[in-house]
Amino acid sequence: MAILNFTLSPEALSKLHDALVCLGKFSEAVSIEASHDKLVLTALNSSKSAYASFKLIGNKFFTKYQYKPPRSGNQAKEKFYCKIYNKALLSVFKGRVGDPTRERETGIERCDVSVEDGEGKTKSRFVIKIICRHGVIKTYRLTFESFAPMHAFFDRAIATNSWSISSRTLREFVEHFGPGTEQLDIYSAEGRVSLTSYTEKVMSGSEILKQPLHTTIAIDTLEFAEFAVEEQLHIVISVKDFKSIITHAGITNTIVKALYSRPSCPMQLTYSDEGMITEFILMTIGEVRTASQSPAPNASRAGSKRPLEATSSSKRNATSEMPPPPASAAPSLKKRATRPSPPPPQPSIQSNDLFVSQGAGDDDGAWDPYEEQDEMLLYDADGAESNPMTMNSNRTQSAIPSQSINGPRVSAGGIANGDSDATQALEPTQRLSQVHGVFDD
Amino acid sequence: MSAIVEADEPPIFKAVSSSARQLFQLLNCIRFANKAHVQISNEGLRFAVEESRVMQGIVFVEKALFTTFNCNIPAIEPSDDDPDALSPDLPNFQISLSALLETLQIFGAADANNSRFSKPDNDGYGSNIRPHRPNAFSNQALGMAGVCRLSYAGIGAPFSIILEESGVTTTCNLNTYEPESPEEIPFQRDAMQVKIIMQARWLFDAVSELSSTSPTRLDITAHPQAPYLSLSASGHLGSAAVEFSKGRELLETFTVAERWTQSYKFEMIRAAAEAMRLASKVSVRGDEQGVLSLQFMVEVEGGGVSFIDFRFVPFLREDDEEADEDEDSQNDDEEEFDDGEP
Repeated sequence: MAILNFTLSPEALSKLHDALVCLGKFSEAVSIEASHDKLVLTALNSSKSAYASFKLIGNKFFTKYQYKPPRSGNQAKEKFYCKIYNKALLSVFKGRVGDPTRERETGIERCDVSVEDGEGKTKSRFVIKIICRHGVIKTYRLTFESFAPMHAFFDRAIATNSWSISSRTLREFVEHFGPGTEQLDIYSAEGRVSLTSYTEKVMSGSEILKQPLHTTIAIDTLEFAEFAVEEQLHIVISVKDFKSIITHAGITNTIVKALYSRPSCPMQLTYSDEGMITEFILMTIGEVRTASQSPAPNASRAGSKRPLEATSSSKRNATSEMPPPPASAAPSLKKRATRPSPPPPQPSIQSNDLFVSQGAGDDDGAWDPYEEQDEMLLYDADGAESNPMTMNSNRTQSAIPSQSINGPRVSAGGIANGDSDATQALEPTQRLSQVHGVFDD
Repeated sequence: MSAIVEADEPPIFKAVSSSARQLFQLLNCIRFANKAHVQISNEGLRFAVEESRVMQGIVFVEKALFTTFNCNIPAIEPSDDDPDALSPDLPNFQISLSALLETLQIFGAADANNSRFSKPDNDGYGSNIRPHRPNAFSNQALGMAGVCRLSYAGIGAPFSIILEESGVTTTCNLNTYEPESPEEIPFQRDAMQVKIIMQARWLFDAVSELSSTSPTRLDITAHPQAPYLSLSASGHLGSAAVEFSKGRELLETFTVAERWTQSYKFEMIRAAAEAMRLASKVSVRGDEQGVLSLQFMVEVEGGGVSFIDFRFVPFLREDDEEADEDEDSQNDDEEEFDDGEP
């Protein structure tokens, strides 16, 4: 018995393909959830730090949409969900998307999808029937896994910062992001928004595994359709995720809306297109503002790992004095340096965050696992500092253009204050507080 | 070349073509195996390639494709009109097909298609509509077409190819090998059960469609009624089928007495994909034993038609029911798996 039937027009098919491509950048499996009025496709990345969801509205996106819930007992199930390997879906929809002139002869007339799931004799299959001109019918019967999807939760109430911008404009900006950069810092001050994509230097012994790279794009807030963000707030997300989103959003000319509160809280990006509502929830990387961690374990860990702590910190003192002109930029960059650079490990820690908050609703409680992250932060900071000279020279270079673009960003005092907040959070590291001390002097 | 030409006897075979391109295009369709069996007759050249005795590809290069074609068969003239028939008297030998293709490519016979060779897994849609159509900048259009001379002096002599293009001459002598006694895959023309003539591109489209499930087996089924012809394959992620349900519109000729179904190794059928892409029409024939014959009609540049012939031996199926049962039991397993989930 088919519990779900829907028909797609060739245009909708191509949109679905675009959506699947986008989902494929997050996870290799797509979760499909059908209810009486909509179909929701979601993907959650393996580290659970990014979540993508496409809501396809039954009567708008589809030519026909019918959900006949299976009855279990006397109660009809409200939702049907399954999980399909994205590669299988993509291979079904691949190739025909694009310009219709290419495949005039075997062009698609429509696509019928039905989901058969039944107890007993019925085979459980996701059946896609593509009806082409000349009566060529391509039928795919894909296996699926019955699996309830995980949804990320975003609390709009606490999201005080928001901006929205045309997706095409945003795509133009994204094209400038340095290749291979990992993090994206979104920062605004005095009517200018800086999008900085950057990579931290990664060292393994004396070998440089990754060269640091910073690319800053400064945009006037007038480019935005709407812009209401706290001044001088740094929000850091993954470049890769952001690029995946904007690549998809840029296909159609729409307005991308971002909502977020503060670092280390999720950020939501939404946009919609005829019958399709797209939502992404990304974890932001950031400092912990609550001084809830016990400094002791961190310190001891750091000590055991880095016996040369004393020398490295003294070096830092020396180096941090070196770039006086970009004093405003340097601390902010320094602050970034404390963020973990290899992205894979850190989201796994944040992973819970996206979800714990869903049930708990208590924000602060949710952020507890940061202890572990601090350990990483520490380790990373050390790694960077073990090579202070090169690191610093690179930073000053990269910092100068960003400063010049930002123009009137000389209010070092304000920055320093903002910074003090950040360093407070990192107090357990002790050495950073020394840095802070130097600046104050 | 001079050494060969000036030998006492005239060479057995000498031919000149205005371009190596056609020859390359045709032979490229059967490059699934390394050694090609070449047979020279008064009608043309016959290149046969086979794989594990279950797949066979034959290209017959008619003498009309050459500007001059001289063949001095030593003993008796072959009276047989059928180019497929193997007469032991005809000069025949083996050469390395890949080496021959390399040679023919020297002057960019494949210039338009280079990308395809570097990416064989390209989905093929790019050049699907009019494959190998010369564009305004191809050598042919610019009048830079070279000359390709082929010759073969006799048993033991190399097969030599001389390519001349814009004042550059390349001479290649390919060693010839003793022919293995090639046995054709027998196709019973008198016990033919299926005969379908259709556009080759549709077959290409169907096969590339099915390849997405990375199947091992391709099932071809022909029905006297709708859905007439269906190709199906199943892989790990599910199964896929392509049906040509409006037989009359799609299939130029469709002769099926009763339901006919056979399974073939998917990879083998896919090895003929290049021919499907190049050809304009294909004749799909199946006999009582399930041997599949695909005959491709290729319209060669500058007019003229060439044929590429493939034959495939089917997988052994005791009877259809058993195969279906197999499938069912597999599905049962999967269902159990599905049910095991929450």
